[in-house]
Amino acid sequence: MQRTLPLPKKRTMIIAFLPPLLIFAFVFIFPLIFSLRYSFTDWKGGLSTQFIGFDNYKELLFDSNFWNSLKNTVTVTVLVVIGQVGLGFIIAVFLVNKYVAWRNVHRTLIFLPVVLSPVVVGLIWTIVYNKRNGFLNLFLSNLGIQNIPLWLSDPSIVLYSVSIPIIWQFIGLYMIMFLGSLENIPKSILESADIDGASTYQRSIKIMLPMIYPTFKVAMMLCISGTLKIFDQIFVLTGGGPGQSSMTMSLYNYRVSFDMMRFSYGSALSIAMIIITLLITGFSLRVLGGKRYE
Amino acid sequence: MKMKKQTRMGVVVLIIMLLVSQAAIFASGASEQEEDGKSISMIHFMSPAYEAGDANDKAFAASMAEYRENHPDINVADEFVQHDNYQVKIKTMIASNTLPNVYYSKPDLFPLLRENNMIMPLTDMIETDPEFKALFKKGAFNDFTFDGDIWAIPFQLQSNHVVYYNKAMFKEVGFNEFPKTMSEFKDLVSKLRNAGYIPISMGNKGRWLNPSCIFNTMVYRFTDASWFNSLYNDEGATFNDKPFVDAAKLMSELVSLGAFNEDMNSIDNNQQRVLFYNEEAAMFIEGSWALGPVMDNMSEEQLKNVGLAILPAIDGMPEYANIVAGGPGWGIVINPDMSEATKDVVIEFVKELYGQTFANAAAANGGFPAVKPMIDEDALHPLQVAYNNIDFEFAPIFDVQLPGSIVDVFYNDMQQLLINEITPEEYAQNIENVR
Repeated sequence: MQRTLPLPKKRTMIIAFLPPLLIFAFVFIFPLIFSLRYSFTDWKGGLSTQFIGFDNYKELLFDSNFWNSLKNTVTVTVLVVIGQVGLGFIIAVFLVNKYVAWRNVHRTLIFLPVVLSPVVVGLIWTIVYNKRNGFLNLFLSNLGIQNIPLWLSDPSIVLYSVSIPIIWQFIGLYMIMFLGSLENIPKSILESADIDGASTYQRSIKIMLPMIYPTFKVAMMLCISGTLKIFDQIFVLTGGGPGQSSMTMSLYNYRVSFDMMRFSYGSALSIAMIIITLLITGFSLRVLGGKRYE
Repeated sequence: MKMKKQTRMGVVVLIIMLLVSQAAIFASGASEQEEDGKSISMIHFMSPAYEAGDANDKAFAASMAEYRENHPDINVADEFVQHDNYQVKIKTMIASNTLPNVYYSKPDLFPLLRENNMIMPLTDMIETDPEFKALFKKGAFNDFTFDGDIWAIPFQLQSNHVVYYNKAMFKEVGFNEFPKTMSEFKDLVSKLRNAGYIPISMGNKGRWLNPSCIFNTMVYRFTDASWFNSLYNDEGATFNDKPFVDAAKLMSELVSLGAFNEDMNSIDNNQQRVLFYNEEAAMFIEGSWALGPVMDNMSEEQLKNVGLAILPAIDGMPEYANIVAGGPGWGIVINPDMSEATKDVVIEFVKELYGQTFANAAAANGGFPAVKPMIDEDALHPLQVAYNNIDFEFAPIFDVQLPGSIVDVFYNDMQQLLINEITPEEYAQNIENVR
């Protein structure tokens, strides 16, 4: 057993941790506690509030808009997880291949959108999807395709249309995570797989994936919890429309709180969102398995 | 099991922080303004980017400069917030009780503001100064009068509904003037569609454009303000009433006639104007505030072809032909939470800010002030004269008067009606359900 540095005194530790703890408490824990308190009132944003017990939560149970937004959020999350983690992994596998030229260029270009602000991404894709001057429609119509759908106006496809920019933006992040751990796989293992005659598919799924499973699990959890609270890109792209067809939980919460001025109901929604997010991430963690491949 | 010392310490620290921050929050609720009558705080959405601003921005800058020059001893601390963010900002300020002395509000917030004593009745201020009162156009205070008191000062009076149309395209399909009846209008729409134009360009991505600028006035083609007042005051009218449903049916019919561009729910109101500027669309419908941008963005040659109108009357209902949704929209509101000395200064400030200087500057820049401007008509652009010649009869704007929860459905479900996701009857019923 090796000890590098002696542990500091407890008092020193507390003094060192206090400032970040204070900030964290101020921006996260206290608002949460206040939200919980407001969710039991009829606060509409003034000074007068009245305690109304569980009325907000009762309303929430029968609020079809909320359940619809939950359904949309889950759909987007599934699409985004497949896109970001799945495609991210595939791209990473390609990029570790020694036959790929200009690896750094690819890596940089794919990573680039990660540093953009989500609002900028939303605006870029509004232009891409534009019916008249949009890059996408121009491309498709030059290929001779007729009846190009209305990407952001057709309720049956709008969830896919809004997921693509989100995938596009963060795919680089997961690619970099996978690249990092793929490069740490001992060369000897991959070489012996080659000698045993493993195909590229077998090499990726049966050797590489299990070898980087802890990273994969972290990526999945980050992606799921990040997408469950998705707001910015969709807010810019459609604002939840047409109608309610791309409304996610956070967007709906925003509408309730700031358009309808029902802060108490919005607080109840936030609490419900926390519980649902915890349930979904907890469930995913179970499915992904704690110790598999370790 | 005994709690670890560190953990226990942490819990204690958390509890202390919680108590301290609670106290801090309630303490900050008290007013922190200077109470010496020398300082005025204000929040507004009049862009300080003078060149890029609209008529109101320019008039505000002129008027503010004049006030500052005349009262060098008074410090006006004004904060600018962009219009689209302003509503959220003001709602946050209400929630945290940090409103300044003077701010803008629409009537939909008045009940909340009154409940919390954040708005002052201005009846005295207006009635005791007949000279000030006489400055305003007729009916300017109507939208701000509740329970016998005036609660806000209007700075503009504008129509939420103006049809901007291209005369050349109309001529091309055989219309030498704007249709007089709805059946002619539908005929025109079909002909324009067949000629390959977008009859009406619509940018409803922000959800408000169609309900506020088109549909609202469409309802007034079937009824008048008394219906809305009855609905607003809970005196019997409902959204399921025939005029409302008929208007929704008419909207659906126009959609099926191909009156609008297909991507109406994914472009915004600026993009709808671009289609008109580029002569791809024969008409667009927006409030009078679009007149300035039209004059700025189209060449003089193009402008000669631009006409202004309002939606024609339904066949057999000529009595409703001139009613449009319109009015002041925003009003200046005074927060009563201040000392008497400050109150006097603030009242003088509001009177001077939105008096004659503002009106003249606004009118000269193509605006529509609530105060009668003293300006030579020859100095106006022909389009402004054309606008002034439209015989508007203003009726309440639904989304300015109704509470947010109703407006939200009114906006949202219109997007669905436009793509045939719901029927006109369902549209009416959905709004009625949240009333």
